[in-house]
Amino acid sequence: MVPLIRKILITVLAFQRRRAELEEQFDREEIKELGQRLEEDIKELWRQMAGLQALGKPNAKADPDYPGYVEMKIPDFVGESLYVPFHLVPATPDLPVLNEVMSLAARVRVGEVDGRRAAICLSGSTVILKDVLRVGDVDFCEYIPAEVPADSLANAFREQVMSRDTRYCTVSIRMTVKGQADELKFVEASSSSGFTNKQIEPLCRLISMAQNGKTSHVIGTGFAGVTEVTNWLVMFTAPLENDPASRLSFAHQEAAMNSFGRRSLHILETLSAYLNFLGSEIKKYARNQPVKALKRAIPWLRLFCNDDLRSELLQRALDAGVLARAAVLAKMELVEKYDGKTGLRTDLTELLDALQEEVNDEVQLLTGDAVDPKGTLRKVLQTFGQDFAAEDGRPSLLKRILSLAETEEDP
Amino acid sequence: MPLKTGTAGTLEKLREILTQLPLDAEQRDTVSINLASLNEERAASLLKGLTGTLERLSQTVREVQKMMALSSTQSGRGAERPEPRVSDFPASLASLALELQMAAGVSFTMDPMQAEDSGRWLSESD
Repeated sequence: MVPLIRKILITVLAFQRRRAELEEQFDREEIKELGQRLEEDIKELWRQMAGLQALGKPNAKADPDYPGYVEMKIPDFVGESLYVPFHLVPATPDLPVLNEVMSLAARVRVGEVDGRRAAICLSGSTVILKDVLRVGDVDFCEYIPAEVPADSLANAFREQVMSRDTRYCTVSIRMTVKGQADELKFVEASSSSGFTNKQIEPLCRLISMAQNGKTSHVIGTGFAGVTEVTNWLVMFTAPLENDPASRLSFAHQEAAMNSFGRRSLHILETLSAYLNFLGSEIKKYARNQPVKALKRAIPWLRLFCNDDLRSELLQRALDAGVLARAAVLAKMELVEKYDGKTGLRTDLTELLDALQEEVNDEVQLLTGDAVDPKGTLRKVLQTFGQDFAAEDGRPSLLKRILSLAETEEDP
Repeated sequence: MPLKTGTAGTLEKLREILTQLPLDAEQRDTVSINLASLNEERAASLLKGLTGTLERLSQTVREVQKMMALSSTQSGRGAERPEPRVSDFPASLASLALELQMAAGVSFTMDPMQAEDSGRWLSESD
């Protein structure tokens, strides 16, 4: 029997896709009212889903203000909570990792300056670490209100660069300014000898013109070894949901690390955009970057309530060993990024040495004495990608996953 | 009072409803165990709430589907996302970049990003 949730999601996708056409053919107000009713009903369902997910968990409760979020208290961080979309809760890592994630967030955020709090969210595969088991990097996304001055952001970045904590090393900032063409600039720390006002001034101006950006860090973590940690910066004018910048990311795949990062999860437009995004990325990456496709498929399968396909996908990934291989490849790329560069900061050099050692051990374990370890690792991923998309007497796993949104028949 | 045999029907009904929702098998078991430890009143209230929500949603979904079936055109265009905000800015980026580079001194180096990095950054997030 097809679960009701699947019928609901298929209907949401079709309704949003054909909305303009429906509004032309029928009474516009009637269609609008129907859409609002669907949205309100989903809002109520999300509220109850969060309640079910929180049931029996002493540190969790359904968020009463933003239906669909489960508020998880982190004991080591009194007064702070993590707000996780209900469908990601079973895949969210446990407390030891969450404690570390909260510390990382405090370390990489730039927007909390002079008492003005920006909202930082955990994003990417770390949010579903329990499912994917390994990550090649850790991603955050920080929403920064327009009233936070550029100089305070630049100074927060400078403080991070100048920090002498040996486990954390802030290495770069890159800002995106949109005009006739995108312009991206990359500033990479090579020595911590100074960060002068002369440097801060143009950086402030670049930040003040930017719509978004990214800071990158190399950090020694307990759950992912030495890894790259990135913080995407999204500048917005409050309220976040009304600013088109909020559409640069999806609330449904982010765990908000304070209440400012929550957004409505029931809005038809954003829900269908999220599903369309997941579907198109699964299709796009299945063959050539299958682990990336897998990471998109996990929340997709959790929302569509299909245990069988999720188990099959994860079991195949485990059997092929692709999760570990993809994580090692990401780390090899991080090592290569600094390969041959001289004059690097001491703390960065030490972290990169530890990373190299970690990579060497893993590569030895996964590829033995292969002449071309990177090629050997990639070959396994490639084979997995081919299997993912292969039609072997029945529709491919890829096709069966995607068909969840296309038909009410069982894949 | 914990949920006992007298309310087994309630529990059974709740379990059935859970299969319709985005929960995996393990979660359904966990939720069932947790539901069984609730008192009868609370379990009945949960059942009533969930049933009501799902009935309303089913009805609304039916109405939406009926409306779409009535629509003469069956082919819809793919949903498009609105463009993100694009602000005007002074066209002085080239000089600013140079200035930043000049100011970089010994501590920083600056490299223009590769062309392919200039696309949407959303998909890079993991």
